[in-house]
Amino acid sequence: MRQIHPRQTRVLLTCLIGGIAAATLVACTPTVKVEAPDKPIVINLNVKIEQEVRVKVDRDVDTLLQSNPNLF
Amino acid sequence: MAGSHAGIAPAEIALNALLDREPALNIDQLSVSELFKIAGVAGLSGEGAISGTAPITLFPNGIIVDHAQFAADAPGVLRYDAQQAPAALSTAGSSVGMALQALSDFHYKELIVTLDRKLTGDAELGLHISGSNPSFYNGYPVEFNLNLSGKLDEVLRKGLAGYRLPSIIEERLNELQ
Repeated sequence: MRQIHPRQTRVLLTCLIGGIAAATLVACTPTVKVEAPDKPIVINLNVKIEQEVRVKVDRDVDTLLQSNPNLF
Repeated sequence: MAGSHAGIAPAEIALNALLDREPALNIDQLSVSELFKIAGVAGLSGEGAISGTAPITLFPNGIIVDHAQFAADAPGVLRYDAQQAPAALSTAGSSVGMALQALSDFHYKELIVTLDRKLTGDAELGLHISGSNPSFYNGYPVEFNLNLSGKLDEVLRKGLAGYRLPSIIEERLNELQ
């Protein structure tokens, strides 16, 4: 049986490691895709209008002021 | 209103009793521009037309609107001038500012208006629009949902402007300063 020289062993190992590294590189090739999300920007606005209470108070104040002009 | 048609079906109203059948207010091809003029919201204008049905029930002391829905017949445009927005809106923060920016020239593909009104006067008005503004994020698609609740018809009758501080208080405050 032919004996393998230590130098040949180093070459073989280098090739093997190089091969594994190349395979790893191929496997991990990053893919960067810039794509706009397909979902739209959603804006939700909830507005509760409570004008009535304020108007009533203001009118009450108005009436009060008319009956008592020197209140303030 | 030019080009539009509104009618009540069935057109049978018993004045001395509650209605056996609920009438429906049918609106066909109502101009969005006319609608916004009636609403009287300063700075709001639009193009296009909407159609739909409002199921209503009449009572001696008021009206009930049950899930009224109107939708745009075709794509159109909605514009809201932020300069004319009430102070409460224009100073409400960045998200509202973003909404106002998107609405400055909104090209809608879909526009749906919903309305519910209880006998107490409490109403909910919903506006759903989807489309884009060419000058807002390069025309990126936007979906906008506005939900207004409260005694809306009363607010519309009295106007959206706030009630002025009685002049006498104003004068006294000025004297104090």
